[in-house]
Amino acid sequence: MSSAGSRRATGTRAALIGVLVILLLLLVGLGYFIVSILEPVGSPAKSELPEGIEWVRSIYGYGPSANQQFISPDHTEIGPDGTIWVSDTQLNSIFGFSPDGSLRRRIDFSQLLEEDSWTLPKGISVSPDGEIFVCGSSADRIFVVSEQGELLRSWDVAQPLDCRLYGDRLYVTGLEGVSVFSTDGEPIGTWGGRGKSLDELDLPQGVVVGDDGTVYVADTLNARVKAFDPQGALMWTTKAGITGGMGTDRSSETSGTGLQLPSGICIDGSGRLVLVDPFGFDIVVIDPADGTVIGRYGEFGSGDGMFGYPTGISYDDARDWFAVADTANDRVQIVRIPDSGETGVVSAVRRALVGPVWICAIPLVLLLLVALVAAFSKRRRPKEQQDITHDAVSSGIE
Amino acid sequence: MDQETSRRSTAVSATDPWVRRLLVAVLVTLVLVLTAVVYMVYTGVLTAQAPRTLAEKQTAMLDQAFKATPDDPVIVADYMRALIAVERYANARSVLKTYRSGETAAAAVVTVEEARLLDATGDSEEALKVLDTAADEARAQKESIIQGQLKRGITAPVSAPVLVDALLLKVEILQRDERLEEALSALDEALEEQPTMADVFSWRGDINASLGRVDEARADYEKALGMIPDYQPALDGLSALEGGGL
Repeated sequence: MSSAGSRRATGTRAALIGVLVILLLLLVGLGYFIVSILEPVGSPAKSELPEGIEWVRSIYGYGPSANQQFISPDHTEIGPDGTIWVSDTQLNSIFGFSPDGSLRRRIDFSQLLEEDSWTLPKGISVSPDGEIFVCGSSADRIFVVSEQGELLRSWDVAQPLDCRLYGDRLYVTGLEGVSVFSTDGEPIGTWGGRGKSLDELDLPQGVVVGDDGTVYVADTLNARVKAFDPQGALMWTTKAGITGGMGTDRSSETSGTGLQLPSGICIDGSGRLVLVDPFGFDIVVIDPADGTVIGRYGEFGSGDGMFGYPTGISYDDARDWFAVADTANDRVQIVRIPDSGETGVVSAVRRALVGPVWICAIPLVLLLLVALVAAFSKRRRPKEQQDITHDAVSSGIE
Repeated sequence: MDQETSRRSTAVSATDPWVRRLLVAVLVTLVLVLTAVVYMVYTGVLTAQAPRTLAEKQTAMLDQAFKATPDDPVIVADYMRALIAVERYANARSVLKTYRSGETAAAAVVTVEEARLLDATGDSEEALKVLDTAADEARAQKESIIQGQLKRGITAPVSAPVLVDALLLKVEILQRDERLEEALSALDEALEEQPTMADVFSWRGDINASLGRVDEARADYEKALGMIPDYQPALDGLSALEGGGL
């Protein structure tokens, strides 16, 4: 009987070893497969990137086929849940992508609007409750849509180019300078009509509002960035930039700030103004206190990590990265630049946990449960044995 | 009796410490496997994704073009080159095989990529032989175009960009193998074919300089600068010559 039991135990061990080997091989295979798929093919080496640029990934379109690629991505916006919203003027649509780059939603204005209109969607702003405000630049309207793609409301604005929510106000830049509306479209005020003087604006392609209500405007065709107080009084303007053409001298001696065509603008985790300059092919960092240029990152090129006419930029505080609409390269690039957010272990852990890595906590939880069950059953077993012994002793006495 | 034996044997197995340990290991591994599967489903890595890099976009678009017209030598060559650039050699071989299995005439543009594939996978000698074949095919193609034009009374010059590609790839391989005289000879032919390549003049200047032929090197750098006055590699080359780098 003992030898039968021993044979049985040996057989069980062999079977379990076999199962374990198969599972381990499966695990290694799956791990290799996941790593090889998650790592984009042809990612640029660090040495190939412009100084200060850390490339995360590019988004070239919303699917693998040729007709699902971007044609002219114009502006980007990060939603409260990390969704990367992208407007593509030529596709007449806005797209929402999860932070890993997969498509969540396409809102096609050709289908959304019953009339056959070309809206040329540009600037986007997303409210904390998920309402999406879109500048329909050729439709001369602001459209408010839900995340599910339903048109909630719209109102007229002359050639709106970019917009930004701040509390219950929507700041819109466009042909008439800065227009301020309630989120329902009630006009509140307007300032900075079209022109070249310091308090005027010329087709401003970017607007962002600081925590204190200061309105920063990328005055595109005047090659300046300007700060206004909430009532529209000019607080400061950068020195004159270059209005002559593409890629000319950037040095501050000859051209003030060296800005050429300031466009999309946002505020990073350190409170700095960060904008893109399509003619400078770079990301420009500006001190919000006085408009001093404190950094420029990027070079012209078509390779990943380079820029060709970048027009829009937005910042994801949770992940400390920027989504740049790299228009002439038909893509959105997710990049990081130095000193844009918190550093250190805590922020690194926080960033890691906002990605899908959290799902790896599942085995830990399951293992913890298994350990708890095992510990519990171990504790119960001696007690049961104790009870049995106690019963046996009792019946012996009887 | 048998049932009793079996029951006791099972009990013995279950109390065997090694069996218990193995069971725990199997359980842990199973949980990890399931996690990997859940991760794959959650992140959607199994579904077709949009390209994330320029290389992924190029290969995806060329893959679609190749599937639509697998006998187009230019698409085949572009696709092979894109695959070689991202080191997907097996895929490049498969594309070449598919192309060659069809009713297609020899195309120099594809033969050059075949050589590039051979070189990338470590067979540089075979790559050089294939490049000679590609160059012959390109010369024959050029001659055929010239004859065709002559029949129609046209005497315009005919360029052979594929021949230049073949020759320049040959130079790359020969230079890496330090066969500089042969590399120079290939460069001469490439420049004769297309004499407006500042970078190639500068390249020839570099090889001449490394062979100690200062005058020839200077002449090459100056030709390059004649085409692009601030061409940095040529300026660097001249500076090395002037600075007594040799």
